[in-house]
Amino acid sequence: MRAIVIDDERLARKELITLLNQLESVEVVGEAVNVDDAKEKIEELNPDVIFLDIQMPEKTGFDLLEELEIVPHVIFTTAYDEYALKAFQVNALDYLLKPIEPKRLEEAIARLQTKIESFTKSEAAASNSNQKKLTLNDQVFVKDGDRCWFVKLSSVRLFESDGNYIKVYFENFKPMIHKSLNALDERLDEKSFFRASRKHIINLGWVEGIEPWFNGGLVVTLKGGDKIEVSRRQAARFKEMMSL
Amino acid sequence: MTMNKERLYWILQILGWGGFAFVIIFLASLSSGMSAIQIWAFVVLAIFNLISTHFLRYIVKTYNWFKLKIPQLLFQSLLSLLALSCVNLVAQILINVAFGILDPIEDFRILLILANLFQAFLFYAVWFLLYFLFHFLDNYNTSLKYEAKINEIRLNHLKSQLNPHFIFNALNSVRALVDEDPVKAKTAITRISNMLRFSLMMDKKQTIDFAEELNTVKDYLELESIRFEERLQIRYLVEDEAYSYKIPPMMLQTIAENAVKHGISNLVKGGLIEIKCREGLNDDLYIQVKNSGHLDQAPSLKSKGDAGHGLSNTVQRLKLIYGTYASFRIFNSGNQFVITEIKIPKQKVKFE
Repeated sequence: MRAIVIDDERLARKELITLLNQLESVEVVGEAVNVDDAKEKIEELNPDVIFLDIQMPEKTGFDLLEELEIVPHVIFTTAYDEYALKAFQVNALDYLLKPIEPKRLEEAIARLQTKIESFTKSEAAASNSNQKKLTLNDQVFVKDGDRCWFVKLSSVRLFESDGNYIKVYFENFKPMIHKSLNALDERLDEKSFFRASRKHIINLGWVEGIEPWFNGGLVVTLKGGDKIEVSRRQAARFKEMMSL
Repeated sequence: MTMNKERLYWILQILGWGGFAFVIIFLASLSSGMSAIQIWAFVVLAIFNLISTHFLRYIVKTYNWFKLKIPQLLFQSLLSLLALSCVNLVAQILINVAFGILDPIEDFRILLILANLFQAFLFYAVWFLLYFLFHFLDNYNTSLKYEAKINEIRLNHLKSQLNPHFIFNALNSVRALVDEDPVKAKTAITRISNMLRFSLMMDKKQTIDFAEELNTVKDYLELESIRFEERLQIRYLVEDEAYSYKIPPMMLQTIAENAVKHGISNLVKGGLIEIKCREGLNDDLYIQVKNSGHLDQAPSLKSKGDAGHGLSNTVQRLKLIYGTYASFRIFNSGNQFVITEIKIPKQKVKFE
């Protein structure tokens, strides 16, 4: 797998690259010294995995994840950021403590390898044609205040626009991301997500009930009880999609 | 706070003795009815009780009875309560004379005198018990608060001793250095062990020689410059007089760490840390740490927040050790630099 190492300290990068070079399965294709540098290199080199330091000058590793359109697999490297790591309460997430133990690194890589393999399999099955679209298996990085999540799109039942932000509904959480609903709509796979109205995008896998509504519209009940109105214009398309 | 206590005391006194007068008048009027003169006599008696207990409080406070051992306190208080009861008895008779309601045959019966004496004693004893009870509860409360504060400072102190973030980052750099520059790696290991030893040994001492602290800070900044490389410039401007001072251990160290953490490590291009130590006019030492960066808002020196942690701790320690003789400030110097400054007096330690 192709990797990029991101850390503001030269010696820290050197140390990690030395360790990674000893592993056959990993090829280090680049290194970056800060968030802007990293963003450029990730978009250019499209790595499978990034090794990301959390504490960097001006922008942190979390800021990078927020800025990225497509987030590759992430392994955090940190000396001692108990607070930062506690932020990830929902998703188990891989991180390595500096100085990095070679055995721990190897294990993390092995875990990632199996994850990538299962990913590519299901991804190939799901959508061959539109590779640029986000499918149910993709994950998005969401940060809300002090808490962060990597959320698998299959567990997101609803996106709701709120000013310049989008509320992402999953489990008991609804953190906000700074994006427009239109931009998100274009990136989502239309087989899995449906634009119900100007305000809402729903996950079709979470639909539990459908009832007619005024004016030829519909009301969709999602698992968990959220009720979303489907505008008249979209209702016809919705019926079409849901029927054979 | 003393104002509040004084007010509380008077409110309780007036309410207590006012209530006493009211209850007695009420009970007496229920059983036999009462003339206006008798009512006034009771009001005057209540006022006398208030004044006499206030006098008792004066004695207790002036001779600091709170510090007495229990047997002596018991003895003294019983004696004084008894004396006060006798005075009270005389006062009752005088009041009756003054209001012209004394009935010599009835009122001078030995049984009635004893009953009145006992009653007066009872009231004084209750007053005395309540007074002491309140005092001890209050005292207990404040000493608990004080204890908690001291513990908190100690705990914060421990936390600020070893900065794990620094230690692990330094070790990580050294690991890379082992291949790149083995000699430098060896020096770095020595520096790390110096620092560890220092922070383990020093936490019990109140103050140490300035030279000792400065050496640790030098070790520390050398290690950070291995990490930050060309991003960290260091400059020392230390007057010889500074070496005759004693300073609290790990204090300059904490300030230097803050300068790195909030200054250098947040700047992509890095910057400068300058340590300046000079003697003031009145036998005090000014230590200034200047670092690249900018304070957006004054860091809180009181709160328990994470960011201000090292600093609030420093302020507390200065206050504990030197009282008002030491001072601390942090401010922007132009747009480029932040200066942290402490002033330490020569050998004016508050307690050992």
